[in-house]
Amino acid sequence: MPNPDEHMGLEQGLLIGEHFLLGDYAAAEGAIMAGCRFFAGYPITPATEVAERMSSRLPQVDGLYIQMEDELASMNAVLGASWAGVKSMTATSGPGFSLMMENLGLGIMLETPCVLINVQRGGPSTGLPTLVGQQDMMQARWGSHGDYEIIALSPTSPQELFDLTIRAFNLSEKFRTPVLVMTDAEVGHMTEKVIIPPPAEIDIINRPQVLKGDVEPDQFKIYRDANTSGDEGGVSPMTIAGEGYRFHVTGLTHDEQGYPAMNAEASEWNIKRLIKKIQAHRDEIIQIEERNLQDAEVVVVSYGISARTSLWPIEQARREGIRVGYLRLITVWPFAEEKIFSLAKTIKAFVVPEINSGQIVREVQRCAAGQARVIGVHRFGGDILEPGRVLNAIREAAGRPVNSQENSKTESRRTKSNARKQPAK
Amino acid sequence: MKYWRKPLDEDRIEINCGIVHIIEERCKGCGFCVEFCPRDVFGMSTRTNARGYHPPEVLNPSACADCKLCALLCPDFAIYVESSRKTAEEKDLPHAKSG
Amino acid sequence: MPENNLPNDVQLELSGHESDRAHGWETGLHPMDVLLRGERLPHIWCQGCGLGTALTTFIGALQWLEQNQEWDLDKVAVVSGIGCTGRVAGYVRLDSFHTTHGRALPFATGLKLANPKLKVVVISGDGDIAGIGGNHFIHAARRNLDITIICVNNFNYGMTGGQVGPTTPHGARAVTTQYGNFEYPFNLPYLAAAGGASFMARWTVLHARRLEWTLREAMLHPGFSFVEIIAPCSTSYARWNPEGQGLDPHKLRRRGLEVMKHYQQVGKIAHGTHPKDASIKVDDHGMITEIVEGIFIDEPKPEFQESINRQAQAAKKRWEATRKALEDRPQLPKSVDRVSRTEVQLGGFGGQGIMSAGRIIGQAATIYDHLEACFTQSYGPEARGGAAGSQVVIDSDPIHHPHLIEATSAIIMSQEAYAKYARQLAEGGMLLIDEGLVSFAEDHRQDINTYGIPATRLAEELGNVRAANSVMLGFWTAIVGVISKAAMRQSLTDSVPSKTIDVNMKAFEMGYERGLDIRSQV
Repeated sequence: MPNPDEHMGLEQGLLIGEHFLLGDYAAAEGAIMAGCRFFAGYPITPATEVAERMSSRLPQVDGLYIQMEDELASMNAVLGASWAGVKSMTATSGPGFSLMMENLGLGIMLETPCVLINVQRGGPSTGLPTLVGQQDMMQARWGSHGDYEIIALSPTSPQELFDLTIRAFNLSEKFRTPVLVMTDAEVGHMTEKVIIPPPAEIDIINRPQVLKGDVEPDQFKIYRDANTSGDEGGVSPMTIAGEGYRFHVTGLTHDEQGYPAMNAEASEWNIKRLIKKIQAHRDEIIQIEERNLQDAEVVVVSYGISARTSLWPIEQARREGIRVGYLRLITVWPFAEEKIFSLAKTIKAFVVPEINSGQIVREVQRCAAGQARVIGVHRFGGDILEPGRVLNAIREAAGRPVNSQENSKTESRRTKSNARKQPAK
Repeated sequence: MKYWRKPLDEDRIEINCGIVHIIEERCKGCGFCVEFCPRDVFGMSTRTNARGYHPPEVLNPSACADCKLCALLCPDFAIYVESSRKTAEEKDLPHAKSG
Repeated sequence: MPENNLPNDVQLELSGHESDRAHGWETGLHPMDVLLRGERLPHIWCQGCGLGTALTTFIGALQWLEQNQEWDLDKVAVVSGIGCTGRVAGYVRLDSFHTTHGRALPFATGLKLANPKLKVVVISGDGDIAGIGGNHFIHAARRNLDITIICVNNFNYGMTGGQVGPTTPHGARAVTTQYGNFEYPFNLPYLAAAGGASFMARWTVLHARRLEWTLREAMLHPGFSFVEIIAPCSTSYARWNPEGQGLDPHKLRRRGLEVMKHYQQVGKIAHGTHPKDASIKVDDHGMITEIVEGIFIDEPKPEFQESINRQAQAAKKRWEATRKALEDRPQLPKSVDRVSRTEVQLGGFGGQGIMSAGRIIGQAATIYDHLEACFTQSYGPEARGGAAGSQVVIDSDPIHHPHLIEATSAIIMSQEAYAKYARQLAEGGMLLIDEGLVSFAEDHRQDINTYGIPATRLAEELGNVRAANSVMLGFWTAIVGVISKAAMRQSLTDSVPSKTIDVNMKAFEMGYERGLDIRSQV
């Protein structure tokens, strides 16, 4: 039976307890736990289940699900709802992610809290709708036009998809910015145990905001300059429509008041503000998982499902005597530059497994700055990385002999089994 | 419409007659007010404002019927009409025979 | 990151003046100034542009609503897109949003849905609403959301210099159709009607007074209301087309005025015109010969906020059932020791419940036997009615590799699944088949243990063929023995529709008993 905290959570429509839950469903539950009460989306494999779950759960918690006519509309509806004061979210995959880029930029420029989940699949173009890929990682950072900063988190399991969706909302509210959850078809479509604690045990952050009567409307500046105001974190309190502040916001380069200011100084002020908001809080935003880094000669740097599937090869390598450490990027953007830079000084090489032709590996190379080798282990979308290949890359990184027969380790076992089949008598 | 003779209660009957206020510096000389005023209250002036446009000027103030069409048509918020009334006598409505 | 290096005493200009402030705008002079952002005026619109007039009528309508209908203007939100008309948002002293090109409508949709108390007005141009935003326009009409759309139609993309747009008349000239537009324009009233708009009207800015009255009605109208405002584009469209070449008595080339006089000639007020007859007529040279104006549609329809409220009630009921199931869930005692990585492959064809079976195993393992489990499904063209496959990995320790490396048992319910999965089973693994549906190949492996049960037939005998997978699950539980029976039973109960719990439990027991028998013989 649930305890009183759990009971109250259940009363509020929160799915407290232990569940065997699909990754996409866990994301939806995380959003609801974080206070999300608006979802605008469009069906796309493998993110459709997030939308489906939100469509059935949101009305149960006095929220609203709307299926918009396309992803462009979805992203905008999410922004509109956020400006009406409701935490909102959308979920998509590669093709929809591309469509949302312009308006993700609008969300960043308007400094709007919201969450966008990308359940990555194989690309490019229509690609592999039902199969895993991690090919949108650079797009997550640079996909919209112009200069800006973005926060992107990468979960490895349905439990983490739940946890990180909550974290994404918290970061988006705290820093008044869209936040991306970059998951993939493997994690999104696997079903595992997810523990959902009662709300009392979860930290929920809400945006700094002024409502009717808090401040004189004439005195209110919706993009208050942190340098002059001393605002914590460089994040200016915002307001929402209908509170009497008669504010104006625009996607054009603007001033503190929110009014368009079409000149170079204003652009510098604008962009520095957007960048500084996030860069100045890297310590808080960047989360990594470290194992065995102290005496490492080789470090595997990865994220998402590829980080998880590296653990078994790492175990094997350690049994072979290789001092291999593990660095998992829970936050992929902003990138953990300082960590890579300092590790590069003491190790032989980094190994970067990812399901793309080489994206985050470039960041590792950049930050290693030539002080350590960087070996990528890549494959194109469609399946997770073969453990044998990752193991061989670790051996190579450590200067040990490589066993190329093990590259397709899972294949070889099956081949052995087939060979044992005997013809019927 | 002209009167055939002066009405006897000309000094008592009150008729709408707006007081036109022109904010000259806002005007862009588009000519809407001059062209579409139903009572031909305006004319284009020969003055130019600071932006180089010819603002309108009120030529027939007593002709104004306080319809406020000029204010509604003006794209630049440069005209508004203060509602007021004048006696028919003050409005000096045209007669068939003057006097 | 370098600091902001503006000296502290330099104030960033608070206004967005695109032009010199020399002829400054003094605020508080005009009765409408209270609803204008004086610090951002004068506006950027050209001499003779109809937008200023459109804005005046909009503000007039708002002021009337405030005085006569007790509207709280704090609750009015204006959303615009990109273009000359889009700039309206920046000039009105209301909560306003200047969004991206074509996307004002979905933004407004989110705003309104999230706070139904807001009065949301979208003000944007013909290119923004009917061109790039066309899709959003028809869907907004379809939804009958309670918002008002004011589309100022000046027949071109004015802000970028006068290019052809979706409403440019056939034969008319624009910067990108200098030989005459070879395309045909939208009939916006008809488009709105086709989308399902419940209120639609068109006026030129010349008919400003009627336009203002209509705007009042449109904003009071419950549901989607659309007002098309025909306005001169003095600098672009009027320069390229005959309407702007009229005789200006002062020869000042005031093209906006010339177009307004043209409206006087071609405007025809005809309320109730059927939208299909509302196209703007042109002659062979693309010059407009008739603009029919008036209120064309005024048929209130149910607005969907009410439907939303009704669905919430149904949703709450369903939650009650979920909540109860969670609260009543039993806590089973730990009955299973350490389990090392165990992999199960399931295969069959669509409809046999291969996915559910895998999920039931995984749920039993995690929720009731307190182990780790990872359940995945096979995708690809085979997922639709063809072959279906699912996989479960069970372990006491965290599972690093979510896919199967070497399954130690397989539940196979179709010939195709047998052909595919039998050869992937580990040496010494357990192959459990539905006897009636699978027959062995000639080269059937001798190094695995095969167990059969006529699951489908047994389920049919029990009265529900869909319980076949429960038979297999019972069979598997007994033979493989890695998950406890109590956990499997509870998981099965959780997963099947309540009406079928009985038959499924019977099926499970049947399979289990058979499995036990076989185990005891081995």
